[in-house]
Amino acid sequence: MGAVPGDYREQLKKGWEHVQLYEFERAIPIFKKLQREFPEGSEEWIQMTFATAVCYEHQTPPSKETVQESRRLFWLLAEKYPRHACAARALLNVARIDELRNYYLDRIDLESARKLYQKVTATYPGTLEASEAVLRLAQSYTNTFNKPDVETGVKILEDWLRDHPKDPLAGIMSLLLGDVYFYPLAEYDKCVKAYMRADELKSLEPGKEGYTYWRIARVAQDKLKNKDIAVKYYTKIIMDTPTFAKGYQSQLALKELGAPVPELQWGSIGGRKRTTTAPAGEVRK
Amino acid sequence: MSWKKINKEALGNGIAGCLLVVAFFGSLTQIRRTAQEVFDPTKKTISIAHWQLELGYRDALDKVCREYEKLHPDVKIRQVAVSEKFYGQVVNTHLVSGTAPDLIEMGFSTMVQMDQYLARYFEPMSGHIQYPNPYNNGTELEGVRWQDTFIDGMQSWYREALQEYYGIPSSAFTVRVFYNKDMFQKIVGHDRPPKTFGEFMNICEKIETSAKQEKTTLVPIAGSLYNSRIFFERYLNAFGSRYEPALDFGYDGGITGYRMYLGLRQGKLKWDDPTNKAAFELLHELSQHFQPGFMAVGREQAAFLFVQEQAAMITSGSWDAESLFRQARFKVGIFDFPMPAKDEKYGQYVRGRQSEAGTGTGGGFGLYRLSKQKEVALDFLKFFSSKRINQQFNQDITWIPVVVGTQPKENLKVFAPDPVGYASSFTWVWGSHSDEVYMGGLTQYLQNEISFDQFGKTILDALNDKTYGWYKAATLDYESMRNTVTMQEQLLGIVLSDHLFPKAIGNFDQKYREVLIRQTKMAQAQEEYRDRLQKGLSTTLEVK
Repeated sequence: MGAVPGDYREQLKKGWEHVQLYEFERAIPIFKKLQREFPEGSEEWIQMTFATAVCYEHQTPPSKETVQESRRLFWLLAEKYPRHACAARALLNVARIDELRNYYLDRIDLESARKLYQKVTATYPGTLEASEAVLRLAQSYTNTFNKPDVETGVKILEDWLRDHPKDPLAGIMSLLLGDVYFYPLAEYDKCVKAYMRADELKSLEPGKEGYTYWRIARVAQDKLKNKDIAVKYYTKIIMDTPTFAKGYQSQLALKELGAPVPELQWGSIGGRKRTTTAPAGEVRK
Repeated sequence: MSWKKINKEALGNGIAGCLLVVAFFGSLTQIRRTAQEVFDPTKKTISIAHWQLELGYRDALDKVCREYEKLHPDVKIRQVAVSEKFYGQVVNTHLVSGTAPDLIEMGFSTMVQMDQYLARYFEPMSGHIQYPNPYNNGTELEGVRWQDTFIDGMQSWYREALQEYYGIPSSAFTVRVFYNKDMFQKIVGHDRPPKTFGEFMNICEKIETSAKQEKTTLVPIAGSLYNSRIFFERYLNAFGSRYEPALDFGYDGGITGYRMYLGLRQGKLKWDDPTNKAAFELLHELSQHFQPGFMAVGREQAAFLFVQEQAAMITSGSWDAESLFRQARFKVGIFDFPMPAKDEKYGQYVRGRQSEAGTGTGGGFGLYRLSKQKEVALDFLKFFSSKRINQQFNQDITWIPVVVGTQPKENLKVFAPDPVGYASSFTWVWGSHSDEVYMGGLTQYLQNEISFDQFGKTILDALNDKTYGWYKAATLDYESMRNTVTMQEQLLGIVLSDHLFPKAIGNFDQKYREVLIRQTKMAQAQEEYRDRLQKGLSTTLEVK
């Protein structure tokens, strides 16, 4: 351990700036140098260690050495300083490294990842990390697209949402449920309910809400024969997502369903407000 | 050696020397003037780089710059106009060397196209666009978030992998058909545009008949590889969207390359389907009205044919309007692509025109992250994209403005994006190999070198080629999704570590939620893609 440099805050700032610009390889030497200047376990040392681990985790191109070093550092923080604010995130990151294929020929260790996700949820209840760990645990099953596993993932999410309806990530979990019920499970009633819940919680993909609205409306019309939901979402496409190019087709669908047909809103958030009356059945122009 | 010869030589050398001295001092003066302009210590100088060499653009931009300078006498704005041929190289070089212009039109450069460089060299705009643009004060946009003052809410400027906005738009673009009204009047007997495809073809035939009678080289439509693709895309979409119910098994409104191919393998789509056949027959009929050999002709040559009255029509985008208006010595009309009427040939196979609701915004400028005059450059961007200036600028260059409440020039209103129509279609292309084969085959088919069936065989063989066709396309698609997920994972790492320690980014809750939503969606889509391919094509993608 050397003397703490006077300008360490400047260097630290520089290091984090590199991180924000995805320049992980340039941040690593700064954090590593600073880490050596502080006693192990100090707040600064923990910060530098965490930062170094983040950089190694995301450095490109990834290599076995950098990813393993990242895992080692995150693990060290989670094990030695479990009460620190970064411990839950460090543990979650270890799980993530185990779950993902980080570099060529990386071995995925789903069992380890799942155990660690469960550990995060159990050890840090009520935290954002605990919620995220539930989401990741479920994803580790649903992303296999193997039916029994997918059902396990769905059960994890459904159980969690039943017990924690106000979870901060409830909307995202519902969105995932909607996707999984659509494919591969093809349980359309549950799919639409989950998407509608995600919509209520404003958790649809920002700027791409129209795609989910279209899916809800189409599934409701074609698979569920649920006119009310179909009408609601075709109308939302026209009114709420004017730049999603399905407005006209939504008008046609509403007409087919015998529902009121709103005017296209394209340009209503912009100039040249263009309103188009409901199509009179002529689909070409 | 005679005196005469010596005098002649001395005179020549003297003139050359004088010219050299004049040139030297001329250059020196020019350098000094430029240096004064660029390095004037009393002024904050910013530079704005673009590749728009179309007629009128530089003048219109210059007018905006001078107006801004009047408001801010301590600021000097300099345009750097570079040909699009070299624009990418110039921008890349200056970005790397740290001498880039303060504002850079976003395009042509790998530094703009690739996320990792974009993040490194350009200012993320999220933090700026959530506040009102003060130059909109006194209009209905006063107090409206800058982002919401654009017709598309700046969605076109969002980089998904980086979850950030880069660049501020200036214009929007659509495509239409330009025509010579005087020529229509003379040959067709009126100057109204055709309303249906049948009328369109009749007009073309009348023009050809007239050309034969008059023994001129006049053709109905000026074609080129560039221009004809616009026609082809529009008409193929009109037919292709009929396949949406069968091929959009994801129920999200789109037919991607792999959905097209799965449909093909599952028999939901066939090359000789009447709809597909009708679509290509229409293209074939249409292209008989272009000049011979049009696929080997460049964009400029086609425009030349039109303005020289060697062709009665040409298709292009609103970006060419001003150039065509200025160069043509006749009245220029514009019309939308006429669709076949129900009772006309092809009519029963057409679904309808293509919707333009998704027309994004373009002509955007990014802010160089290391600009020494970042605040000034940002303020100029606000001025440039204010309601009044955006309208003025676009009217001056005859482009479509993009700010709420603005109006294009009267003669450009026909270019205003029309949301009526269908959004989904497909092409017989999945991956670069099939793209090349398709374009080659299409050229041969349209030039009567191969039959429709031979064209089909060529493209199906290319798609079915396991080495270069579908499998390669699928692998590249999957890799691309995986790269996006990886970048989102990186971003999540950045946002979360920032929240734990330096807390420099701000607005953590929203940012974290957005990243997580997109990452969850993309990871799901990526694995769904792999699973559907595995089940639909009985294949396993090799993942590195």
